[in-house]
Amino acid sequence: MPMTSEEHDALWEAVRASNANWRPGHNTITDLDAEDRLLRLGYDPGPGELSLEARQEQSADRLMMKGVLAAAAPAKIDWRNINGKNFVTGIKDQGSCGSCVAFGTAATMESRSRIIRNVPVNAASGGTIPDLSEAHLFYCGNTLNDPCARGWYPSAALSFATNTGVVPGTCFPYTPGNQACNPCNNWQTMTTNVATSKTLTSVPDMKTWLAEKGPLITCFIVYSDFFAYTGGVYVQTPTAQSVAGHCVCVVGYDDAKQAWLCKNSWGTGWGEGGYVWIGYGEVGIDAMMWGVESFAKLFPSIPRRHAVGPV
Amino acid sequence: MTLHLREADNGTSVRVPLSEEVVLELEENPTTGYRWMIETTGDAVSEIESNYVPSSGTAIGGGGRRSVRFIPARRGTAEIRAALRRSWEPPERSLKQFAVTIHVEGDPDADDQ
Repeated sequence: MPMTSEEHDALWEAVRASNANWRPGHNTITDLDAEDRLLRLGYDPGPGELSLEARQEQSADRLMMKGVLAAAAPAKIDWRNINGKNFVTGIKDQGSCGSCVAFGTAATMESRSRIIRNVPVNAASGGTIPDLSEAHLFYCGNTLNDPCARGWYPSAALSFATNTGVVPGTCFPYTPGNQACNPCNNWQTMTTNVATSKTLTSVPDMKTWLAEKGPLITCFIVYSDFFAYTGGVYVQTPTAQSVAGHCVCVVGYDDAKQAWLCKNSWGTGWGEGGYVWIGYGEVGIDAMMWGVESFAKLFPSIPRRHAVGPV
Repeated sequence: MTLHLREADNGTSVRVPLSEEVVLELEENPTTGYRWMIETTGDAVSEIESNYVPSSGTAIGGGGRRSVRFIPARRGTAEIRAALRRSWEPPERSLKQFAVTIHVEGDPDADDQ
């Protein structure tokens, strides 16, 4: 049955009672389950990765130490607007396939390659760099059976992006649903290959990376109230139940908001035009992040114009 | 006794005695934003529980199964309808639809009145 006005009001009340300031939208979700049975979430951590529970505990612990962990980085960064330059490609939609890791990874690579080349999306030359193929990453790189139902790991996606590279989206357009690896002819000549990437496990390092190098890949636990987010800073409400692990691209942060700015892959109709602010230390968002530092090969190989620095 | 219904039962009609539970199990991956929205018409059955159960051995973005329990409330007919969709998108953008008609009957060996 659709969410009733009372249920909607209850979610608002839960948000208010927890001193959160995000806005739940009215929706027809009816399944705010009575019991939290999902502590395991069915998730097997990848090599060197944290379990989702450990991720959440680590983020929460760090939040308690935020005074100690204050970074020397700027108070805020938003790669959509660095002195008027937008280094974040458009919001995508993963559709019905559990390919969020490919979208978070591709988004991070797209932004980093634009930052290195100083070619923002909104520059006259912005269209010369094609977005990357999430389909190539996910359907060629993911060796799990039934990948759309089983998901993937950021470390594995970065490994594929390093060893094989990722073609432009036009070479292998993304459609949701398990399918064969089928990039265009001569795809080997069109790859963008990561040279070095790094796993970050401290909040100061994450902020410094975001300020100096660009966006980051992260994963967190989706709770049952997350679907209703329409704006503000998302903080998990106490009555919400854990649902599953999800991956996004972090494109900024704001100390005044005490939150990370994340680019989701659920289309522009969700959240703030496809983006969400997630509070520091919430839902495992900042336990571990992954950054792309440099590329062994960029496609197309246009010359770097000059280095860009954040604000 | 429990009657289990799955996606293959879409469009069917089933008969259940008053003493039998009905459990609807549908594959779902909430990390995509798509979830099953359940509606029941008629008062012959009542939804008493809805859980998402993740599949074991999944990675980030992995899915699982939506499990919804119903109990017969009275003799009569009810229709359980489900739509796999995102809550912020209009219903006509549902990915999948599911419907099953439940005929609740008295238990043959019991005085259910």
